[in-house]
Amino acid sequence: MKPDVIVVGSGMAGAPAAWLLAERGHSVLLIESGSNISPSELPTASINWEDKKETKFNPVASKRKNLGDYPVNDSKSPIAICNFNALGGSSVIYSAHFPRFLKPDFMLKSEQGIGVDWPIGYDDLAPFFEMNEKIVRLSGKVGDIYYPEINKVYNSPVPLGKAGKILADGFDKCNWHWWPSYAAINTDKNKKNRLKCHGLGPCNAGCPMGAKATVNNTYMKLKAFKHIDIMKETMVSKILIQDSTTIGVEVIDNKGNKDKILCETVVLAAGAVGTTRILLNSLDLCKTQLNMPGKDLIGKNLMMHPLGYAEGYFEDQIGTDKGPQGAMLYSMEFYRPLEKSVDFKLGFMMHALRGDSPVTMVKNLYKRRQLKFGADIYQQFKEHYGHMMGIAIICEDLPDRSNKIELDKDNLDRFGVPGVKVTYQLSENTKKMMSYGLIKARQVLKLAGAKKTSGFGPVRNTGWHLFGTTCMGENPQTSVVDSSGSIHGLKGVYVFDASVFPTSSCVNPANTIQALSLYLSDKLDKRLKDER
Amino acid sequence: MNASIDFLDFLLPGDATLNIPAFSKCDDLDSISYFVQLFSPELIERLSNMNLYEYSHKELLTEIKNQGEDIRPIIEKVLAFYFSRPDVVVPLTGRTVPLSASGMSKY
Repeated sequence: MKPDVIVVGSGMAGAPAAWLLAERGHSVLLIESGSNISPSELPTASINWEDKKETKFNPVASKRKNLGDYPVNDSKSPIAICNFNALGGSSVIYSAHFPRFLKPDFMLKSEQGIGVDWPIGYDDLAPFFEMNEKIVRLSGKVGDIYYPEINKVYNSPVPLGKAGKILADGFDKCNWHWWPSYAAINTDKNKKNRLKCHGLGPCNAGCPMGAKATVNNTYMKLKAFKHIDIMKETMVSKILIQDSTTIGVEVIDNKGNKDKILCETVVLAAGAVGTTRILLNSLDLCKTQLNMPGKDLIGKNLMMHPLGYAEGYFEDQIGTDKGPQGAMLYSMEFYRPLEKSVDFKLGFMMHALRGDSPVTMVKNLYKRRQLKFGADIYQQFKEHYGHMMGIAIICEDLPDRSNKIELDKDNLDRFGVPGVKVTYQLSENTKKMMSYGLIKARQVLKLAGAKKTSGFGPVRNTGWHLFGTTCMGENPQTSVVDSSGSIHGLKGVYVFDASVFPTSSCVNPANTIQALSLYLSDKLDKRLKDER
Repeated sequence: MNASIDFLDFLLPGDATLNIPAFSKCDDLDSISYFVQLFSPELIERLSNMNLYEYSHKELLTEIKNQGEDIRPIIEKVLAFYFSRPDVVVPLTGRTVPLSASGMSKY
């Protein structure tokens, strides 16, 4: 039977969209290129978990060759593209740091005179942030001055641990803002499908106990999700277009069998890389002339969160081998720096990170030529393991048309569909911001008691947060989709993932991606009902 | 074959006090054989002609590099293997392998 809606991609954006539309009574077909991964297959369930984290579960798209993957050439970018193609998408291996974008992020042009304004505002998303946070059972603490609108959480904050208390003391000495992380982690009681977090550490290696909210253990467990047809291990190669209207999608299963699925409403939610690839390939193969003013913008304005990393070494064991690695505390002190000496625009978040796992730590020491071999290696290990703490400087990026994703016809996937190539450079503004941020991060680490500090950036394997390649706006000349996610000039095709973000903020986007997907799905539900 | 095992044991000799085995004793023979196969015949030949214990670890690695051998990929694989073995990780960290909730009530 022909579905009412096809949703492409089952990750952060796709699963909430599919659920909401099914919940409102639409028949939904969810198509995912990757396979289903059971908790027992996740890396931390194995002895060689750090090796698995770097192979089958490697977030770097160009290094991983799983069933649902396609070629990604990011050699022309200082930051590697990170994502994950599986049922649940990147939610399977994200770090669960779960702040909201801030109110001013939606009004960058109006407030800062640069970038663009979103065609929707924070208040439009507010009810959907609340809906999402209830479903993922947000942990954290109400009262952050940067988030006066958050008045309910569902779990206590992830414990700061010894390291967090030490670092918080450093921030207090600087008289800088800090707050316990908002996280999508179950911290209080064992729940159905989700046990309480025991602080094993590496959330980005997957969470077999389900303490971390993935879309698999949240949205996919909701009642309405049972009514969704799910097609796994199946790639959407192109959207079928007739007279500037979609009539469905072409799919290829994992054996290479092609099929056409007819449907008048297609929602793309495959992430900035996956969605852009499908759109570019569809337009490339489309034989009819399309009146799409924003066609040339597809793939352009790629934004990331360039990340600088400062590290502190503490003489005492500070317990950074335990606890969720990416959920401890954050600081928005430099969201909009007030110092007159600052020579860059916008700002960054400081995101505290616990220490590395054994293999990662030893390999990092080796790469930095600091590793001692022989009998001394064991003592050196003990002196470092659980003694290191990091601060990520997450920089706000700006749209720039020269940063882009294009089809790579020289690198085809196993079915002959082009992969993608990425061209990206750090702006001068970002370079200045990152240098400044690293100085500030080392300053706070020293005041927290770090014996030694170091810093570098951009860190290559951190291209998780990808935005802007199908930018949202009301003007068809300067944007690809309108404020309902509908592509200007192409009827029936919608984009609901982070590729529509007109600007990037400087905070982790998972919560905002999901809230936006719910908001856009709500609009689509109403539109579909109106059209009936 | 022995030269490569001697080399890896020279880098990672174990620690009797901590009850940590040397590289070649940290797992079954099949896994060790895999690492031996990473060494080219030329590198094994070179190592055979060197008295490892005449060098400091740093000097030895520099000497091998000077002879035109890039052994970084091998060493990275060796480190990843060795520092994931329970009989190495547990004495060093007190953490179980694979990771489990055991002992994690306080953090």
